[in-house]
Amino acid sequence: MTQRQLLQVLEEYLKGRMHFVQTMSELASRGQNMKMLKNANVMALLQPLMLDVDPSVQQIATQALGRLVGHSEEMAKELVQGEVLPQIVNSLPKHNNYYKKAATLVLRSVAKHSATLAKAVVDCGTLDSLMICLDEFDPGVKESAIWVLCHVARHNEDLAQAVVDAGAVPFLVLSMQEPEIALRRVAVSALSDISKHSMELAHIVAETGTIAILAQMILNPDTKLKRQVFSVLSQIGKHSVDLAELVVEAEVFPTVFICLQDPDEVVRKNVAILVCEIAKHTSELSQLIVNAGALPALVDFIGENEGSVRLPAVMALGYIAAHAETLATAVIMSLGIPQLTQVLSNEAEENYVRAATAWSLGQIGGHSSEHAVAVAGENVLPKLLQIYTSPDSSDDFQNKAKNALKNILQKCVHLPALEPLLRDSPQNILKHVVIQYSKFKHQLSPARQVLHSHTRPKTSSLWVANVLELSRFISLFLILNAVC
Amino acid sequence: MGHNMADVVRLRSRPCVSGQKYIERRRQEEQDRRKDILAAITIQTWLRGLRVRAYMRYLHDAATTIQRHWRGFFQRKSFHVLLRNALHTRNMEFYNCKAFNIQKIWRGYYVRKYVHNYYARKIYLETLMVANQITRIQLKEIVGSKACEWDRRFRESDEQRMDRLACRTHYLVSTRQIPGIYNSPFLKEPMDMERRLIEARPRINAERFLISARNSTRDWTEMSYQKPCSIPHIRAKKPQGPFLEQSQIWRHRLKPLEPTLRVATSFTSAEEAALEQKREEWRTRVIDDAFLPFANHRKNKKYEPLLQTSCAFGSIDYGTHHFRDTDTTKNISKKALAYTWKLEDGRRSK
Repeated sequence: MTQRQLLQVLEEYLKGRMHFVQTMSELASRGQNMKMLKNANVMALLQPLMLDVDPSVQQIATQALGRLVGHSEEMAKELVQGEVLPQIVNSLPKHNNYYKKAATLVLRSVAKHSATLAKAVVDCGTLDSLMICLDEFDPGVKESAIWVLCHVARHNEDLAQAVVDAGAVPFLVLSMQEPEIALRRVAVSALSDISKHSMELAHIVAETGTIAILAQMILNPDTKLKRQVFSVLSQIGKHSVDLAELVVEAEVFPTVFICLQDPDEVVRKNVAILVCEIAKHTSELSQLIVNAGALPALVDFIGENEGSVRLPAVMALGYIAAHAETLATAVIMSLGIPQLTQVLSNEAEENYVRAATAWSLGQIGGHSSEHAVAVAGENVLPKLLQIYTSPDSSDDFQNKAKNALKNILQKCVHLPALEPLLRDSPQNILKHVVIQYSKFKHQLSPARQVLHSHTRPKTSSLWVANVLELSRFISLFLILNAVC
Repeated sequence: MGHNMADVVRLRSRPCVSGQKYIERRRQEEQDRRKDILAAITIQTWLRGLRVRAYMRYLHDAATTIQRHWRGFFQRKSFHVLLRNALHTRNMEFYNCKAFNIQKIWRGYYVRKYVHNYYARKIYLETLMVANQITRIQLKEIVGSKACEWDRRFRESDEQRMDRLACRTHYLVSTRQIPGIYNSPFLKEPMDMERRLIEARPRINAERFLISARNSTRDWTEMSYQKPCSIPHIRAKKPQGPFLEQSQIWRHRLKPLEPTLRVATSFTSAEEAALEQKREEWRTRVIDDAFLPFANHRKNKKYEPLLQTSCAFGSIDYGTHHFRDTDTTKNISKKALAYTWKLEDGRRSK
């Protein structure tokens, strides 16, 4: 064999390999081919090609492997067991940008499935190599490296702490200010994943002056960036009062309400979550938010949206009203109650959203008799009763409805609102209703009329027939007689 | 009855008294002596009793007087104390009432102002409602303008999409012979797509590559390491020779200018920098006098006299003419002070 023939054979072999890896790469990008590829045991074939001589074959093989692993968890586990990851990680700093992108794709696909896999990725020493990648100039490489950090930090607190210990946070803050949109998005989402786990991590993220930068990004036109920005702010603000105060001091508040009417649903939901997390902490913070004009924004938001998007807004109203009586009055005067009753009575709503609405109504109505009257005026009490007594509401929903009902009833002295409750309520609710009636002993005639019309037939026949202990029957009868 | 001589004489001298009657009388007296003694004793006791009683009465009255006077004096003294105490309590009660009043008013004021201020709450709620209205209006405005922008962007992206589609399907343009699918003879005028097809211009390969490179909003994995132009060569045979890749050539040709530092600095930069420095120095200079050179130092030196001599008030006179010069014009006496010393021999010198 001459040298030319040898070279020809080698070239054909190289072409064959390139063709194979390119086709695998294209096939792996579609999910429906996964089963086929798995049965053909393509992973075992691709793994040695990752260490191929030719750099382009290496890169495309790594990329194909990354796409494969991204679609299924078992393949990720196989890859980890095959101990290929340390080699990839070690060779990360040495090769060119394309290889770095492909290798980070593999790491990301492995880390995104579960916490154990992410831990395996971290154990190979990925974080140090990623720090080297973050030093690069090419924004694509930085983006993929940050994406890996994102997936790693998402799972639990230890991993997030490992990411922070490797010194990633300053890089992330710097990358947030780069001009490339994709880089910014991914950096912000990495910060969000880090700060969501615990207070110390959120502190570390907030210390580096991030909140001011994030506050400037709120009115950026890019949708996905806005989603992540609001998500970070809410994760930072949810842990403690100091962090929430930091977020508020960055003057996000009146501007944030503009984004409550953003065309994108996820952005709106994240904004509502932010408002809810901040209002949760103390009454001063709630007051601040209300002064900035939260109530009309939230009430309009509840009116215009549907489904689980409304949940954080409903809870925000509940928290605001729960803190102080003035704020509850403000909620009532901003016409919050008609919206909340509409959510409650909408049967098509999810149960947890209605449960949250019931809780919020209970918080609003529980402060004083005026509040209870305002809440009861919208025909809320019979609805709550119906939810409490109906067998197909979940336990949590029933509980919340019962607590709300009790809260409102303890303060309600508006007799026409209490009337419908006399008919069908179970004993524990009825007890409260009767106690409220007994407060009107000195006004005999209206109470007497009502009781004549409603309870006389009951006292004679139905109650005796019902499952009532004799003592309780006697005591109730005595109360009623005392009122009459 | 004593038997005095005088009595005897007197008795003997009485003419009417007989001896018998006298003796009977004396016998009767002897017999009545016990009775008389008893009667005398009775009288004496009674008298003594009278006397003692009178004395006791007198003593009692004296004691009563003393006690009366003492009691009066003492009670009057303690009455003053009592009066003072009563006055004190009356005053304290009065002050207490006033203090209660002040505290009552203060507590009411404090609670109404700081703990639960009804009117402040009312004003707050009313202002909040007004602020809510304003917020609603503002939000509507801002969202309205933003909605225009969002709409515009959406429409623009739509436009761009349609333009790209027209570029790709430019062959569907209608010709004179064959009207295209967007130029139906049954329509009054051709559809909008027709206009786009006519206005579509071909893009060169390099632009396409650069556009795809700059379009970083797409996911990186889609823009993989693939050859950007996959159109096969028009020539049947590949040209011989180790030529560079097309993409590399275009990238090289269309690379933006990155001048070195030497090229980027203008050649008047030194003079400009000097001018800038001069301007800065002139701006920041505080003292405008020229700094004179040391060569003509002595000629240019201006003599600065002492403050004392140049001052209008001059210096204090002491020994102006000669040492220990004294001025006696202001002395009280006309004589000059004379100093005398005591010498050893007791004389005094002048």
